[in-house]
Amino acid sequence: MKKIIISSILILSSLSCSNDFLENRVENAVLAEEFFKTEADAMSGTAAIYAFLKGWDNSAFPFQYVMGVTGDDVVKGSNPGDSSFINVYDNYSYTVSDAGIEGYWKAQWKGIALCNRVITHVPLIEMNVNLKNRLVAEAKFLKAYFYFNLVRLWGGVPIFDNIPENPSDFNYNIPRNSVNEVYDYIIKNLNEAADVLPLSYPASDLGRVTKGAAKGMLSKVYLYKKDWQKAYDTSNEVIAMGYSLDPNFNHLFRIEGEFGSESVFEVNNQCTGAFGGSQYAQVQGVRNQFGWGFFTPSPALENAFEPGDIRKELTILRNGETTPEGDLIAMQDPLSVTTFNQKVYVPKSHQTGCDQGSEQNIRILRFADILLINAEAANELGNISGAATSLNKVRNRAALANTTASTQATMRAAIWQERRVELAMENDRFPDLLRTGQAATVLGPLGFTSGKNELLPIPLNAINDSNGILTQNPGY
Amino acid sequence: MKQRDLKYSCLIAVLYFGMNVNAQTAPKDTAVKEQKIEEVVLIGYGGQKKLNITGSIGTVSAKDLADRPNSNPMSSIQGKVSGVNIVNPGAPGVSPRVDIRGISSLNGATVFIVDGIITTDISYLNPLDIESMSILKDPSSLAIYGSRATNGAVIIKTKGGKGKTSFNFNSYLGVKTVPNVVDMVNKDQYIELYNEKLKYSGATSGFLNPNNYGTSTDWFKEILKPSIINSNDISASGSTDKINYFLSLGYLTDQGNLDAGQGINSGNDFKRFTSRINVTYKLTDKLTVGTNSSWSQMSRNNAVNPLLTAYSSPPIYDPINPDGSYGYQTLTSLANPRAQLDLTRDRNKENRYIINLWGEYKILKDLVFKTNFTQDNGDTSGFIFTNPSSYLPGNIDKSKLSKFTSNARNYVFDNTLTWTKNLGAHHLVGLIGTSAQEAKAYKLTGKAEGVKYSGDDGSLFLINGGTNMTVEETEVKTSRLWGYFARINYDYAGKYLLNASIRRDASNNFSEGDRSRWFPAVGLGWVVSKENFLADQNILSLLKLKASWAKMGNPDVPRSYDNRAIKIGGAYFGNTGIDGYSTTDIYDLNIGWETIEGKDAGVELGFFNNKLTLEANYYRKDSRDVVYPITQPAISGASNKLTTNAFSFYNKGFEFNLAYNTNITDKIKFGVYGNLTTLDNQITSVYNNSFNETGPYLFGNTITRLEKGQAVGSFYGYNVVGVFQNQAQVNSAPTYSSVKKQVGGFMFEDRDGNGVIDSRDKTFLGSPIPDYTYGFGFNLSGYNFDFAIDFQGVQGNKIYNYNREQRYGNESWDLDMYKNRWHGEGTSNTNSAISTDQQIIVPSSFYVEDGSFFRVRNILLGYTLGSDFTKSLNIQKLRVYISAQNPWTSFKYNGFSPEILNSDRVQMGVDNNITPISAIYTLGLNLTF
Repeated sequence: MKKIIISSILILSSLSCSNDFLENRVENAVLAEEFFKTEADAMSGTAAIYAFLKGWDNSAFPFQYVMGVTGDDVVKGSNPGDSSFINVYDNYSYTVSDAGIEGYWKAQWKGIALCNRVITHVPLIEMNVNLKNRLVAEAKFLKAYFYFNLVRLWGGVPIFDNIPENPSDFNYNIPRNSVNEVYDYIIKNLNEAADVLPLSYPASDLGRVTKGAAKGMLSKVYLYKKDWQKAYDTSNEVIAMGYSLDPNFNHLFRIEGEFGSESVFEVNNQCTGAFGGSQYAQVQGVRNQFGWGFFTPSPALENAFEPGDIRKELTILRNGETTPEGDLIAMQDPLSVTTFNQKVYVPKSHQTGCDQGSEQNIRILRFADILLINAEAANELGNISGAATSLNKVRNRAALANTTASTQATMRAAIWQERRVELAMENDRFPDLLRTGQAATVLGPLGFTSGKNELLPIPLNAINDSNGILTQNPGY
Repeated sequence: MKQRDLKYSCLIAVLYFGMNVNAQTAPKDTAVKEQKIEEVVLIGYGGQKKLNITGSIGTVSAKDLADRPNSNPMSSIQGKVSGVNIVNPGAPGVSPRVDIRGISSLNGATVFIVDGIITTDISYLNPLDIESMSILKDPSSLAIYGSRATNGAVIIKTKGGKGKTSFNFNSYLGVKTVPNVVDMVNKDQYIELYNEKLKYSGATSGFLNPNNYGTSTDWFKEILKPSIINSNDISASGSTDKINYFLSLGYLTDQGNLDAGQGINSGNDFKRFTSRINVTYKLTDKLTVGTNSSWSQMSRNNAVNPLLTAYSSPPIYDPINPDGSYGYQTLTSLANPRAQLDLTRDRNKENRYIINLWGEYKILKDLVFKTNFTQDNGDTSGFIFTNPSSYLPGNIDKSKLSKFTSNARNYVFDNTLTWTKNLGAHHLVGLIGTSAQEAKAYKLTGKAEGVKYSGDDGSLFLINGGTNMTVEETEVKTSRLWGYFARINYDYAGKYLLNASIRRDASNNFSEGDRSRWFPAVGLGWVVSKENFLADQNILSLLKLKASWAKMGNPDVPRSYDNRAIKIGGAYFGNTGIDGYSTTDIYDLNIGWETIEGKDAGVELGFFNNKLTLEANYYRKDSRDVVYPITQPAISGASNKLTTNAFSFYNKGFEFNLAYNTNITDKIKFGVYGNLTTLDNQITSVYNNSFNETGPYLFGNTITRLEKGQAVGSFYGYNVVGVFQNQAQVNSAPTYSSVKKQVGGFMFEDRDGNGVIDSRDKTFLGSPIPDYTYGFGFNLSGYNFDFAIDFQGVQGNKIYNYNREQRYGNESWDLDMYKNRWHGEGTSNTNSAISTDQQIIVPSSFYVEDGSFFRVRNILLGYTLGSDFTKSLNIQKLRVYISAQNPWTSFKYNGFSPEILNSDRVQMGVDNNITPISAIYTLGLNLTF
């Protein structure tokens, strides 16, 4: 018996393991807790935000639904049966369960999360202090941009300033902040960013946000807040930085015209290597020739241009026309609309190896916009001649004579009209109509309900997930 | 003894010393009057007499697997074992899914223990090498395998030899066809529907004229063809007093039914060469060593599955034009199915070799030590090459080449000590053992564009004129497991049974602190028929009651240290790209083991000397802390859903087995069997009362939803209550939001009664889990003939016809839709009008169909040549047979087949381009000499 016991224990003891055998080993992948430790991590973390700006939700469908189709200048496009769910944005019949609105909502929050990770973690990295501060400033600008989108479309939303140690414990379920609180937060971030960001970058960093972009965006935010003095002062700061209008309106929107003197903030797309670009141009490209043919000019836009305005034919791309670059526009769907957004047209010559315009940059802020902001702010402060100076620069570039407006009211109307035709098809019209209080009159005939459609509905899933903490916008 | 070993040895010592076997003598076994069920069943690290089993184990013998045209042995037992649901693939070389008593977990798969190696992939195994299989169904049987076996386990023992050397040659040749091809509309009907759809959308022009289109293409005829399955197998086996051996070689060719092999495509088939050497050598009286090693080489020619494209393609153009170019159309953005098949070349080769060495040493007469070491290696390499689909006008695609090489190495090292003690009527077998396992996997993939194919696979090198070359390395993942276990099998006079085991597993999948778990199991049995009060009767030859309970755990779950920095595309600054990475995944830092608790109770009955046997079992398995994602509020910006121990669900039901075998005359044998399994599966709780909508995603709507109170994989969408017949009905209906109401469109139910139809009106539409599964059959043999027929069926499950739902433009329609569509007031209240409006195509009860089916699974007729004749040729036995597998299936579902194989259990009921099952007609022969 003893022999049995000893022999069996001996046998088994020789086979017992050490703790090393069970030590967990992970190879060739970066654990989340080991990220944001080096300069390369900081660069990657910031690159992630820029990469996200090119994504589907921020550049293609959801972005265009809420910022484009909702205006009176853009219609769904393509043929009637295609993606007919987009019609709800044309006639304001979307409800709390709309998937496109939810897509854009989620995308802004994802962007804010990416920014917060950089803002929280990068300052703790041991690296070049200037580079570190600049990257954090870039993230602050981009966070302000995402919040600007949220507050313009939905009103007050919860403010998340940073993220905690264990993200899965964090309570995201807080009530909505007020519209003013959100605007103040945006302004704070833009100011902090502007303090640090450089005026310009070497060619190898082209595409990053500059001081001009931060100040430019700030002036736009002040405009929305109706803080005319600050809007005027900030836009003057930007004007003093040396931007200028591209004399050739067509060149402004082509690949060759990217990052020109007029560019204030532009999302850089390329299609080399593994990165691809964005679908921004593809979804709006001529149907079945250069793209899917969505988000096209409306008949109202056709009639909005003054006679002699060169921008009309350079904004509206027509089936059957031959472009200045030599392409004959021939869409391949007999049931589709026949006009398309020429600002995102990418000539055939640029399409070899680069699918359907994926390298087209997304122009978020241009100097023309800054000039118009400057004009409007000046006008509201009573400075009619100052307003005229800025306004005329934009008009003259479009081969139009100086404005004939001479009173504050007529100047205001002229500036609003100029914004419409200068920034047509650039996802500015709808927020602009809301800002200027014109939405009910201009969009009412299209189905816009006053007292309700000034804000988008908070998505139903978000309301449910919050267990009642988030309150819905009125009317939904 | 070393200090550290005391830590682990404690329990073993306790158990060992605690075995208190009294020396009192028990009454001798009375002479048995009933037929003893002497069959020995594999139970993991050993065997046990069937009569002494207290758990639920399904047994399959070599005979059940013979003469079946299936490359995977699990396919052949479909419908034969209660509690086991097999879902078979349509494509060759793909493994079937094995569900044992429902769905235990959302992670992991059923494991196979083949001569000691533990694997989830037995595609390398020649079914004819198998001597017996034990399917462990209840946790008390599985607990001995610890954490690897939470989804069930199948123990497979390969053949040995016995007696004089004999050779076995088996060969079969089968023809495979697709028995149920969906009828689609022809050219004229398609154009009729196209024009009708236009008319409803209010168009006044753009109608198609049938005279402009010459051909009416039957796409399925174009891409499907009958094919062949052929297998040849030879084995030699025998034994002497020292050596026992079994050697085999086999070659199988299994072709799929896709009409592949044209253009650059290399075909649609699975070829497998298998070889095996099983040798047992008795070195001395006490020491025996052996090996069970095999080498298999499998090569696959994969063809792109064009079924959905063929289902959706308008039948109005030729696959190939008279000038040899591929046809195309611009009504949809669908590829030409013919071109889809022809333009992709996808081949891979897998080498799987398993080396197993074991030794058994009889320390004492009744104390045996066994060591078993197995190394399982798999090396696979292959490529996928797609030629530019240059038949589309203006298309400037580049060719795409992707090559990969991967390998996997698994080791299992088991050591056991078995002690057998019989003291009068007490019989005891005690087992203690350890198991160390390691699994390593690695994969390297390279991609390039622009490589030109010269006609020779040798030209497909990434560097050959390729652009955009990228290389991706999958992490080398090392999984390790260390377990030790103990078991006792005790019976008193064969009447009172006790089986108990305990196992402790520690896995490196966890951080320290929660690394190990204990798995206890206990089973009790009472063979009532051995009692004296049942001694004097001739009818009930067996009455046995049994019950068992066990706990198991599953460590193979995503863990918090699986939380990686994730790639968010790349951004450009100037002309340089920088990869974007961030840490926006959210993981619970404290994810623990999944646990399963199982209860089992049953009765076994035998009548007339066990000619007739009946068995009834009740089972219940509770899965807790199942790790799977749940929705995360979007406002957190998380990239993923929160992964945590979120779900609990149960599987419960009954199993019934019946078998009757008798000799009608002394020359004619007859047997009949039947089994029925009921299954009730339900999610009992979800973390934070949350839910998860997952699976395929169309126009912003998902189809399946995991939520408390529902079966796993349930479908979720709008409930259709009718079709709008006229404008008045549309006007009086509630407001439709994100969905559209129009004449001819669906009427959805306003479930919350608020006058608006939106996502709040979605509801659960059905479950893919069958209420019950069954199989039965009978066999008859005599006068050199043998005949067997098997039936099998599944009842009460639903299938989501996702093929029918996916429409983006002018796809084709099935004939059933054509016939039953709405095309005027009063023409239909079930099918909508033809539409591709993406606000009408939403997940709804219209696409949820009855998935029940009943089929003739197999018919077999064999003839063994007269023994006098064969002996004159020095042959022991020559038998020829013909068989038909799946010749006839009865089902209501509007698809190819109601058998949907989706390895993702959450999507198991969604028919999304699933390859249909074939009917196989076979001629075969068995030769023994």
